[in-house]
Amino acid sequence: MSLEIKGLYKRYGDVEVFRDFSISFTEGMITCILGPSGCGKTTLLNILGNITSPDSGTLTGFDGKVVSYIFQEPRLLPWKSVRGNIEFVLDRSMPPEERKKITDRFIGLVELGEFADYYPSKLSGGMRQRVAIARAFAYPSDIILMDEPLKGLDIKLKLNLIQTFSKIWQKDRRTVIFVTHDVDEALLLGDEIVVFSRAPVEIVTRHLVEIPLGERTTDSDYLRNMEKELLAALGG
Amino acid sequence: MKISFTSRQYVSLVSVIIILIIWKAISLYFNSGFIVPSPEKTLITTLKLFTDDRFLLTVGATILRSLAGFCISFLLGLLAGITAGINPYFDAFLRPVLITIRSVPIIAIILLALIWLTPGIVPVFIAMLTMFPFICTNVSDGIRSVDRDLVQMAKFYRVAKTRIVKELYLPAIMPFIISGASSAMGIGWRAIITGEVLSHPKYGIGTLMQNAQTFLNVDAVIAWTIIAVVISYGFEKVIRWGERKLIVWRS
Repeated sequence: MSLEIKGLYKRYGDVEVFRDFSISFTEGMITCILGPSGCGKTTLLNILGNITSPDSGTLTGFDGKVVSYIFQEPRLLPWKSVRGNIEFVLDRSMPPEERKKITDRFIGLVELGEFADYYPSKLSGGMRQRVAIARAFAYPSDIILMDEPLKGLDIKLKLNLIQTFSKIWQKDRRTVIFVTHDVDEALLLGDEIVVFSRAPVEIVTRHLVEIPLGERTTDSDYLRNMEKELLAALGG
Repeated sequence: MKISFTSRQYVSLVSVIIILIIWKAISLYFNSGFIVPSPEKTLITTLKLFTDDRFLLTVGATILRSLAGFCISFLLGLLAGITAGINPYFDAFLRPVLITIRSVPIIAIILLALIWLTPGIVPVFIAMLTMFPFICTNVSDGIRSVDRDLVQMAKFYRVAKTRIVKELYLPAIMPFIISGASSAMGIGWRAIITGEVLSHPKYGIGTLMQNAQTFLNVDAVIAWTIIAVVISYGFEKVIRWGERKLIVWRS
C-alpha cells in the first residue's frame, strides 16, 4: 500500500518549487523529508493535507484519508485546558463520553494526566508540544503530517519528545510524513529518510533506517555512517 | 505583594483625605453654601437624596437609558467591528465615519439631537454615538489580532465553522470586547448625563442636576455628581467582575 504523487507542478510567482516531481510514501511508516530551509517541504505538506492545491499533478491513495498535523509551534487555544484543546479537534458527531475517553487516553500516553485541566499558559514548552502530539493522535486520522515540530527546542527536550512520539506511534502505527532540516531528528525518528534538493525539488537520495524506532541512539555506528551520507547529500 | 497592595490602598486613602481637606478649606474661604458647600453638608444632601420618592425613578431612568444606549451600540459595534475586522474594504469605509463621530464635540451632537428627537431619546442617542466607536474599534482590532496560526490549525483539523467562531474567535476577542465595553461605559455615562441636562427628560439625573443648578442648590449638584460617580464605579466593577468570570485562562 502506498501513497503517491506524480507529475507535481507548483510555482509561487517566479519560484518554481516543484517541476514534474514524483514521490511515494509507504503507509504505516514514518517517512522523513530532509532538506534545506525553504526548499518546499512545507508546500508539499500543505499539498498532501489538501490545504494548497498544486498547479498540476496527481495524488493517488489520499482520497478519503483523514490527516492530522503537528506544527512547529504547539498551536493550542490559550482559553482551553489541555483536555479542551484535544477535544476541540474531535468531531461533535462523536458522543461526549467517547470524546472524553479518547482525550483522556492520549493525555495519559503523553504523560500529562495530572495536567489535564491546566491552561497552556501554565505548561512548559515541551509539555505544550506533547499536548499537540496527543491532539494529532486523538484525531482519528490515517496520516500525521509534521512540520518541523522540534525546531528551536533544546536537545534534551527533543529526545524526550521523540521518545514520547515513538511510544505512542508504536501502539498506533499511522502513516507519518515528517519534515525537518535536522539530520539527527531524521535519524532518530524516520523509518525512511528522503533528502530533498533546493527548489525546484528533486529527490537526492532515499535511505531506509534498519534499526527499529526506540532502539536508536545517536552514538551507534550505523547511524553515524548514515549521518555522513545524509550530510553529504544535503551539501551536494 | 500583599504589603505593597495595602500600602497602595493607603496612599489612595491619603489622596482622598487631602481632596476633602482642600474642599473644606475652599468652602471655609468662601463661607457660602451657594458657591462651595462644605463636604459634610454635601454628604447630608446626598443621603437625603436617597430618601426622595423620585430617587429610584430618577436614577433608574438614567441607568436604563445608559443600558439601552450600551446594548444598541454594543450590538452595532460588534457587528460592524467583526465585519471591519474580516473585510478590509468595510474597515476603510468605516474609518472616516468613526473618526468623524469621535471628533465631533458631544455638545454639537446633543444640540442636533435636541432638534431631531424627543427628550427621553436624546441621551440614549448620545450614549449610542459615543459608545459605538469604542466597541467597534476594539472588536475589529480584536478580530485582527486573532492568531492566524490557530485559525489555520482549526481549519486543518476540519473543525466546523460555527465552532471556530464560538470557540476560537469569540474567546480571542473577549478581552478586547471587555476593554471596549469599559471605556464605552465610562464615556457614555458622562455623555448621557450631559444629554439629560440639556434635553430635560421627565426623569433623569441630569434633569435634577440642572434643576438644582437653576435654584443654586450647589450641594445638590455635587450630591448628584457623587451619585453619578458611584454608579459609574459600580458599572466598572460589574464589567471587571465579568472579565474575571470570562477570562479565567489568562495567567
